[in-house]
Parts: sequence; structure tokens; C-alpha cells
Amino acid sequence: MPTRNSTAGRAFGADPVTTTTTNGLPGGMLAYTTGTPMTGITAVVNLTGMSLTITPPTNRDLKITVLMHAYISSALTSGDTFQVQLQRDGVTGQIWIMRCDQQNVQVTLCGYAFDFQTDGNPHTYLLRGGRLGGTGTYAAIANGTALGVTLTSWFAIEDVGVHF
Amino acid sequence: MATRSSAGGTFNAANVITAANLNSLPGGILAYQQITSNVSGLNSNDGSNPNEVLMSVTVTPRASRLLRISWSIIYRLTKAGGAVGTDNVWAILFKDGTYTNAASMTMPQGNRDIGLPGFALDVGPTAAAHVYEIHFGFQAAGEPEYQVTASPTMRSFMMIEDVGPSF
Repeated sequence: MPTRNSTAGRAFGADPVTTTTTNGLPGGMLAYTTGTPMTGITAVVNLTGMSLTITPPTNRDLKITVLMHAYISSALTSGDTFQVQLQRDGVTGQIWIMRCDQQNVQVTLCGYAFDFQTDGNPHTYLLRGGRLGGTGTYAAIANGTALGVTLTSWFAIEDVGVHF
Repeated sequence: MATRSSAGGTFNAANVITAANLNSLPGGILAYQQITSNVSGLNSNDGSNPNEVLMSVTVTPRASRLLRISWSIIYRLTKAGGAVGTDNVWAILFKDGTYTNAASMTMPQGNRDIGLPGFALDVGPTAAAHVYEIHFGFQAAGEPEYQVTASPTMRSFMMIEDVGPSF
């Protein structure tokens, strides 16, 4: 379990601020998207617009956050399940599953992942999602009004500091 | 899709650090609120609109910043009338009185504390005071009653972070 006892951003009063100090700080948000609405989802597929390509500096740690809204628009089996996969360069690194019990009622998945120690090369992060179990046909909500309410799905990547 | 190729916090060793460099960094937490005791009697919602304001914070961010609003509430069905697998429970984010986003789930089990997390981004809000609220709401066929379960050691919360410049 890596831990560190001192963090950047806690410089002492008389010390000069150096690049070492500032390079130890989080870099902040690198990329985000809200995707594009989709319908007719009956299997796990690439979620339209939920792809982010970034080239972060080397030796950084990234935090990936996902808020995904979806609903079943057709008849369903009680206990249908919707899976969301996070891929980096085509390789699945994280999976989340949520259960859907009703037709035309949106459900939300909130997930987090980390990508430690970046290598300085470009990488593409992709969300895939769709039906894992059951019989329902899903719709993915991106950004706007769905089922009478305003909802936005988010996919974001941020630099949370230097790797340790 | 919005991306930025250069992030703050990665400066060349010989560079002079400027205000622009520092402004490219995240500003950290701007506001937070926690619930540390139960909020009972959440029963006034009969549809898709919020019924209770659980938490409210007001911030005045700098211009051209990117904010993240994140929350987690812990709720429980406390009265017959709710239906597992049917009731839909919402944590709804309002900004300046406008329904902005929500996290929702179909209640998976009765008489149990259940976490409901979520987050949203606010890209470049104006440099004026803004009120962000988390409301509790539900859709149910019956007349259930919910509570937010909280104590000093098990807290529901919302927080707002400056996560860097807007882009």
C-alpha cells in the first residue's frame, strides 16, 4: 500500500516556491465528455461520444470518474442488469454493473478508477455499456432531457498528482 | 469531448513560475456540507420533483474555472408503502433553483441504509454567487416514508471543488 506523509501544496512560509513544489501538485481536469444519446442497446457496445484521448505528462496519477444514466425502454425481465466497462487502449480495466427493475425509469451508475504512473504517451479511454442480463432494450442518456427530467452523464479524467 | 494537452503542475525545472502557471492548477475544495444526524419524514414527494432540500452551499468561484459537485447520501425506507424493486429514489442536484442533474436507483432492499453517490461538472460558471443544493426525492406507487440516515461517524455530504481552469 503506497502512502506518503508529506504532500505538495503545504510549503512553509519562508521557503521559495520551486518547480519541484508545483510539480507535486495535482494538475486538475484533463478531459471530460457527456457523450451522445443512444437507443436500442441490447448488448455491451461502445457508448457514443464517451471516448477521451489524452497525452498526460509522465509519472502522474490519473483519476477517472463516471456518472452514467440509462433506462430500459422496452419490456424487461425483473432484475435486468446494465454493465459499464472502462477501457484503456482497447483493454478493459474496470467494470461496474447496475440493476434495472422498471421500464422507463432511469438509473444511475457512479464509478471511479485510477490509472497510476502515466508514461507520457497518448492513450484512449473508452466507456462501453449495455445489457448484461435480462431482456430489456436500453437507452443511454447523455446530456439533456430524458423521461421528463434533465440529466447529464459524465466521463472525466483528472491529474491528481505526482505518482508515488 | 473537451481535453487539454498541458496540465498545471508539470513545469520545466528552469522555468520561472508565474501566476498563469498557478492559475492552471486546481483550487481545491470551495465548499462542503455534511449531514450528521438523521433527516426523517421524507414523504412529501409523489412524483418526479424533489421534496426536501438536504444540503445547500453557496460559492462565488473565480471566472473561467471548472467545478465538480459531488455527493453521497445514505437513505433508508422507514415505513410500509415502499416497494423493493419498484420505488425509485433520487438525489437531485439543483443550481440556482434549476434542476441540473440527479443520481437515482431503484430501491434494492427495505429497512437498510443504502448509499447513493453522484457527481456533476459545472464548466465555467460566472464569477457570481451560485447556490448548489441536493434534494431528496422518490417515485413510488404507494405512500412510503424515507429517512436520510446519518451520524457523526456516518455522514452524507456534498462538496464543490475547483478542479482547474475551464476548457
